[in-house]
Amino acid sequence: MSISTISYWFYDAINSMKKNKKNIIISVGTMVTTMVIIAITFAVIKNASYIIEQRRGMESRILACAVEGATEEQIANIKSQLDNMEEVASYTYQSSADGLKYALEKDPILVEGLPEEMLADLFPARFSISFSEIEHEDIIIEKLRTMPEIGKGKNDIVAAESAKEAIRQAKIYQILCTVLLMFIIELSVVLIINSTKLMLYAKRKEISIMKYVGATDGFIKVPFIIESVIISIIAVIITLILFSAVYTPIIETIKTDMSFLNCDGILGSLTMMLLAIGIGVGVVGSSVSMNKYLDV
Amino acid sequence: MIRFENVYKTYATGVEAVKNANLEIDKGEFAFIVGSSGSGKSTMIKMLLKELEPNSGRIYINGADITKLPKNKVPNLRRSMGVVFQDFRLLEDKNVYENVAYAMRVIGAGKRAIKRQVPNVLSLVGLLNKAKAYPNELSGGEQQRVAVARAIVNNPVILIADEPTGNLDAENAWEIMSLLNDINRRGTTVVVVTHAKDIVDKMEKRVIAIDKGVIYSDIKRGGYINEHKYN
Ligand SMILES: Nc1ncnc2c1ncn2[C@@H]1O[C@H](COP(=O)(O)OP(=O)(O)OP(=O)(O)O)[C@@H](O)[C@H]1O
Ligand SMILES: [Mg+2]
Repeated sequence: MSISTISYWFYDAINSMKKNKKNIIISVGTMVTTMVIIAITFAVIKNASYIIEQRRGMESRILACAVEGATEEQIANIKSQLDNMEEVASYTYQSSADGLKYALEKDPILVEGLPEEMLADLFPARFSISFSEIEHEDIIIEKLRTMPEIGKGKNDIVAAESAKEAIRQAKIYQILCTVLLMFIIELSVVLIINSTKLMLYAKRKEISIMKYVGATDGFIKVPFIIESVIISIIAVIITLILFSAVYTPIIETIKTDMSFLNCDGILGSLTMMLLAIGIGVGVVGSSVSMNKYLDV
Repeated sequence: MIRFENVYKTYATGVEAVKNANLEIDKGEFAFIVGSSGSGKSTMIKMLLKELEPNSGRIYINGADITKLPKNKVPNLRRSMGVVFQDFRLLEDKNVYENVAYAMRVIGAGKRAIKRQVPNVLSLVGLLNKAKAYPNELSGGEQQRVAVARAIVNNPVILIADEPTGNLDAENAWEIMSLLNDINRRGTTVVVVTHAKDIVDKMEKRVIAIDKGVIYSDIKRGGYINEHKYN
């Protein structure tokens, strides 16, 4: 394969694009549409992983209430068990009285006129347990459950500010978006297969002439493949321009409310990914189509 | 150079287009294949180009049996032959120069060779001044001359033409035939399927006549062929 053959292929691809401007615009438009969806999906996946990373480093807390009317001894017991739990980073204790006092200070009307026993119920002695590894959440809760001094009610052990839950949600988004991404990539392969098929049909006479002159299938195919790669690259560039014009400003405005969102470095990886997908889809789609339909 | 041995071709529809064809055309020969419409002339040409497979029999080109040729070698076979059709079959998206150059590009010819050879054949067919024109900007005669230029640009050993003058007026027809004759004089074996009786008579070449798929006459140097079978 000589240099003049390769340069001819490029020349031929570009020439044919110039001659079919309308079809090229339609193809680019379709590709940009799918690529914008890919870009948004990718941004969601990226942000989800960012959330996960961030949450992982955060301290989480579990609130655990002592049994009703717990004695000093029982409280001391809980404390010593918590001291011995290696998963626990630190904890604070708030007695029933402290809780009540705090509530009274904060919002006197709330507790006004209620009988003493009920207030004790409302503000049981509580532990706020901090830990840093999300994997430890279940272990700590399990251990708390086995402790007789800890309340057995539904709300007696609560994972407050649970990183685990946030990560679980982020992961769901991530999985959904990955599935969506796969689907869109497949869809764009199908789109390319179809548009190549239409193009082969439109050019079937030309192709049969090429074969009469002795052109191999490969020789005929390459300019078409180059054409779809060029189309993909144009679509990637347009998508990136659109995306950076829209995504970054949006994120910058809502960032103050949603501090977890980020846009640093996303354009770089997005460019790489869109180029890879675009070129891959262009090459795979058009070759598959030609292998299937070039037999004229 | 070209040899048919007991070649039969029956189409899927049951039409027996070629029946027991036996034929030998030597290197450097100029042969006409004549016969009424539907007699099987194009079918023979298509088998030579391996566009169709015979049902039985053997076809040799340059001593090699092309009925045994694997599919991926077909482009090589076609490169060794130049072909011209009644409907010109030029690439509409490419200008005259590029149409001729295309035949060289498919064989991987270099830039230099293309730049040298394409103007050569274009001047041979008298179209050097139309190199930049597109097929739809040319007359039928001119388009056919481009097709001839493309057919000979790689110096094929065989040139096959299926009714090359079918769409041309008498003057242009004669011009194309003289062109083919010139090419034959330079050593290329030329096979021409035609209905142009007066030209065949005038040129006094070998005439192979076929009717209903059967070769019924093969005259070495022109001459009269039964009028009602050959129009
Ligand atoms: N693809 C095909 N399928 C079925 N029958 C065909 C096919 N092509 C040709 N035939 C039939 O085979 C016979 C020979 O056809 P062919 O094209 O070889 O004739 P021809 O001598 O070239 O005629 P013409 O001078 O009109 O071009 C005809 O009866 C034609 O109808
Ligand atoms: Mg015919």
